[in-house]
Amino acid sequence: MTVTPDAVTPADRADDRRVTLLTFGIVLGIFAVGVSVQSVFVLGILPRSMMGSDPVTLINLVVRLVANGSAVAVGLLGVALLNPQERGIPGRLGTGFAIAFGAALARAAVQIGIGIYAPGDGIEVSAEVVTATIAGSISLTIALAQTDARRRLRTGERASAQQALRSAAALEALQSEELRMRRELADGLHGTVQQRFVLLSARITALIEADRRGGEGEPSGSRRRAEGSDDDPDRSATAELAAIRADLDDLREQDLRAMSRLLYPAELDRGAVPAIRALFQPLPSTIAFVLDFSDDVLALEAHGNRMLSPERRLLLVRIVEESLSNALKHGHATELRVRLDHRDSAFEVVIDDDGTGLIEPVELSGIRNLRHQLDLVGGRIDLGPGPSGLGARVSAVVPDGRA
Amino acid sequence: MAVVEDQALFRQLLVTGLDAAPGVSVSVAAADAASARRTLLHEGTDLAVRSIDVAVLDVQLGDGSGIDLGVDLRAANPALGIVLLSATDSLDVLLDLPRTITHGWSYLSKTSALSLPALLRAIEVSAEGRSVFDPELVARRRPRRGTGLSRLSTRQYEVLRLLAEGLSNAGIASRLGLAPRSVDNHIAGIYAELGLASGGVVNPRVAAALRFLDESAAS
Repeated sequence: MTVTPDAVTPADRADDRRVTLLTFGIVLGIFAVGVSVQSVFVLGILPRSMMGSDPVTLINLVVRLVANGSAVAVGLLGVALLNPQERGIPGRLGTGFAIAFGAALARAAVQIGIGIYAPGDGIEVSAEVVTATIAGSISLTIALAQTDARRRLRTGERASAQQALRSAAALEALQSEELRMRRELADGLHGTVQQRFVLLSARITALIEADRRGGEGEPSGSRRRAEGSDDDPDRSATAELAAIRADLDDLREQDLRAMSRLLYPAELDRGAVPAIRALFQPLPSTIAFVLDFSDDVLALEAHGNRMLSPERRLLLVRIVEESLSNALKHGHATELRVRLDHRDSAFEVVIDDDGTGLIEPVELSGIRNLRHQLDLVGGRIDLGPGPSGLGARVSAVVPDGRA
Repeated sequence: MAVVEDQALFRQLLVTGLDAAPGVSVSVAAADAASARRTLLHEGTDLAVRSIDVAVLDVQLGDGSGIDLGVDLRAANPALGIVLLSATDSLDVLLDLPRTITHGWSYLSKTSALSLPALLRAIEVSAEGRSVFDPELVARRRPRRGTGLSRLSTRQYEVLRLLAEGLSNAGIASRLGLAPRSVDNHIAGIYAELGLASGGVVNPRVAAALRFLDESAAS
């Protein structure tokens, strides 16, 4: 959003005008009705035209309501034409007086016209004009105060919305930087460090082979693992080397790989489909799963095609990863099904499992974490029982960020 | 052929070893995906990639994925054989190849007993449009519960495993001590069980090898 919070759009202007007119009309209307009722019932004042005849209360009331109503109508017309709510203090004072005085004059004219006063009642009419001007001014002041309060509220709301938007943008920038660092670290572990482990292991293999050839004249490469016996010092050195090599391989295979995956999911840069497949690859063969990618998804996030930003793709992959680990950890699932679709500018993923499901409606911290991140990008995630009542179903929507 | 490998020492060993083999000559050796693309896919009088038969690619190149590089090279030269070398042993990356170009891709692990003869055999098989999946990695896999692969008989599974290693029918027959005729029957049975027997499957042999990967777990 590029507009400043206090900028006024045509819609805002129409809104201000509506509020001013409505408030002004209501307050002045209350005055009008109140004064009419007071004159007729409390003070019992009679119009000049009715003096000397039998007073008819209803007619008296109608006559006064018409006179006061004319003041309200003229006042509203004045506000609509002069728009005091769009002016500064001097403008408001000027137009405000003009509107109130105009309305009072109109009322006086009607009062004389319908016989409340005779044209000669100079003092009474002047007094009426002054009080009506005061009533009109008070009404307009209240109306303008109401409009200003509403305007301040609107500006404040916009400012906080913009603040939220700016923090979201800052957070995204931070996440993207973090992601870049994670990728570099993971690449380093994956590539350089792993390769060096491979080379180390190869050098140890060469040592073992050389030792074996020297010791026994056995043809090289016939056996890869040294099987030394402890009574022969040479053989036990070979066995030790073999053990070191096994340790190195293990370290590379398990620890390094796990660490690298933790930092940055495997295959994330090749698309969401390869990355999700890579999540399921290490599952033991006793776990059955079906990965169901729609053709749209394959065209967008597989085969070297990538349409999601790395941050969104990571979010999508983390949703599947979290669901998978929940299913295995909490639900003891043995069968999983992942369905990934793309429609209405968003990726929709559904993960079903056959585990024990939700024993009680717990909010798992991982899901909560993902929900916070999804809130920021306008996505959502729901965890509930499976469609048949068995197992659990996680369904999530990640907007693709292109809409 | 071309070699793209980011580890300098390993690249030199590869180039030297391959050049020394009869019938093989390395015309391009690159350290990263960008320079390989520049050399092989540069638009000139003719694309250099069309003059090679096989590319040996490291999967984890410093500046990108060797698989993506392979897909691009294959697009420019549909007959190109591709041999992937990897330190991470994730055969499953082959499952995400575009469906029309799955033939002629081999995958060898740098961590298993990778030898020059094994590499040369993979190069040869890939050049013919078939695939060699690293035997040590393939042997470690187990059929996943609930899949077509898990319904194969032990013998059929053995035959499919050797097929995935890139052996011909005759090779499988001699390895298992079977009559070639009997291997043919086993393979027909495997195709039927995996739903590859219908006419719609362009290359059932490659499809069967990929199904082997798709429906098994590395243990």
